[in-house]
Amino acid sequence: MDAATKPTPTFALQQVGDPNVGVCEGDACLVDDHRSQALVNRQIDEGLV
Amino acid sequence: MHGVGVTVNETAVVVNEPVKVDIWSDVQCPWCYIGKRRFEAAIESSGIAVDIEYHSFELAPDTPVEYEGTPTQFLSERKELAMPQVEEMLTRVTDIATSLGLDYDYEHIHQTNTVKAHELLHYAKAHGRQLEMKERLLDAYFVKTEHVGRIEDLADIAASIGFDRDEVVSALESSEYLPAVKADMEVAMQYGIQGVPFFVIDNKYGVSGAQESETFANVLTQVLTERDA
Repeated sequence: MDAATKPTPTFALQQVGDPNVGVCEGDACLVDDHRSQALVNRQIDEGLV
Repeated sequence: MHGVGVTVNETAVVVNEPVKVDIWSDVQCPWCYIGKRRFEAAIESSGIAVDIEYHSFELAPDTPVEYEGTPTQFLSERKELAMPQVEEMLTRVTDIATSLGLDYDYEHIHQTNTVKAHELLHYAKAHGRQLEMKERLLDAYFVKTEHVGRIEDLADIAASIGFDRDEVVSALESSEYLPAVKADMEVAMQYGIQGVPFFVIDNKYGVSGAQESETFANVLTQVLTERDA
């Protein structure tokens, strides 16, 4: 979504949290590759996967 | 423990209201189910009482109910990505889901239109059982690979947790709860929500995406701290 089509929020919220976590926008579900892999690596290290 | 039950001292009895949490989500959003589990873990670890309300967010409202293809094909077509690239993306999200005890079965998932599933969530809310229905629908789509787009299939899903099947069919065929779905989408626009899951906590904090449970717990604690200040 570009700046021209991006809706302007009318309700203000204080945004918190990591901006690079998994999220679905439109029909695409995205996550930062490196962070995602780091999480999987940690789970493997912990024997969870 | 914060915000649960009653705090008693010598002069006063203070009952903390649960923290209101509004969550925009779609039934076929893999991060929404992951985010749900992480948020539940935050509630568990923090002990903070919450009042959760789910809201509708249609990620792909133009998807046909009878889409004939896999989610991999769907994403490949829509995003013009090579199939291996999509498969890699789904493998990543599936691995994270697995680590949380969610066994996504992308080989057999039915990609579909979710507007009727959203109507069913509003129907369940009207009957005081929205959270139960939300969990059932996410499990139906990602784990049990049931169809969550057709009215008859949704009625079966609702009946499986004790709803009146005929009443559900009637509500979905008449689109009784479609205005509620549209109203949720309108509020999402007013908040500037472009992706899900999206958590609005205490009408003040916006948390986008499937954050780690510690992040959710910190925000909930912050809300209570501000109340006590």
